[in-house]
This record gives sequence, C-alpha cells and structure tokens, in this order.
Amino acid sequence: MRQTRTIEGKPFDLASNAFTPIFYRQLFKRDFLVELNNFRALKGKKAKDFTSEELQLYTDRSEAFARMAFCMNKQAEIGDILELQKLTINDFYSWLSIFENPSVFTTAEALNAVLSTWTNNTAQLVEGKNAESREIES
Amino acid sequence: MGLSMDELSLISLGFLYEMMTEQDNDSYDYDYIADQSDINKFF
Repeated sequence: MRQTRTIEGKPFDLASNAFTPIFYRQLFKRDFLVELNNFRALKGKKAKDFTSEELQLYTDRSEAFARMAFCMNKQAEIGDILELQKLTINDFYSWLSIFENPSVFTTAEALNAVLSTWTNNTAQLVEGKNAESREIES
Repeated sequence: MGLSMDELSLISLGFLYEMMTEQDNDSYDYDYIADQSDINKFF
C-alpha cells in the first residue's frame, strides 16, 4: 500500500507492507502490532481513568506514531530492504527534526496519514473455515 | 510459509494473512470436493 499524504503542509510518500512490522522491530526494538493494539485499548477511555502505564503510553504516542511514519516514509523512499536495514535511530531523529511542531504526530492529519496507510495494508477478503482460524481472526 | 524479506516487502500484511488463512483452509473437511467431471461441466 502506497500513498502520498500531507503532514505540516508537506507531501510525504508513505508505504506499508508485510515487511513494515519487521523493519520497525529491527530499527526500534519494539513491536509495531503491540504498540498499535495498546493505542486501541486507550480508545474511548477518559484521561482521568488512565492507569499509570496507559498515561505513559498516551504521553509517548507522538513519538510512537512518528516512528511508524518514519518506517512508512523510508519504505516509500528507499524501498530496497538491504538499504532500509542500514538506517539507524539517528536517521530517525534527523528525519524528525524536519518538522516544526515537535508533537506533530498527535495532530489529526498525521494520525490519519499513518493509520490509513496501515489500515489499507491489512485489508483482507478471505475468511477462515476452520473454527480455530475464525477465533484468531476475531 | 517460506517467504523471504524481499517477498514480504512486495505484499500487504492483509495478503500475507490471507495466504495463512488459505493454508489453514486446506485442512478443512469440505462437504463436497470438485473433481474433473465438475470442471468439465463448468466449461
């Protein structure tokens, strides 16, 4: 899935595919899917009801979405996985410095850019026929 | 599934999940399995 989205008025190419979670893990030593699921757990909850862990997660969300956007942007720009695997955390922080607003990744346009690229990447048509696979899908 | 990193970068995660689902569907006990005569009727 590849698309061009605008963040802070600048166009960014974002690409997401089955390699994205692997690339994310290799670069940041974190689990892309776990982080996304953690954010889903916050949905609909009021800040005053957050546990201390959830509050930390909520506070860190800007950097987490920036990490996801970085992976998607570099996958779109570079593509070649051997070149992608040469990137370091310093490349991420250099990339982040191009944004004027440090918490740009809490804005709706940036969140939509990341989440819509990811959602389109996970779209499925096939359904499992075995009971076990139906449980996994749900 | 035997996919390389390069191959993973060419497919969506949804497509990968579908391949895994279809692989799992292979073990499903279908009520009816088409044979050559069904294919002949179809064409």
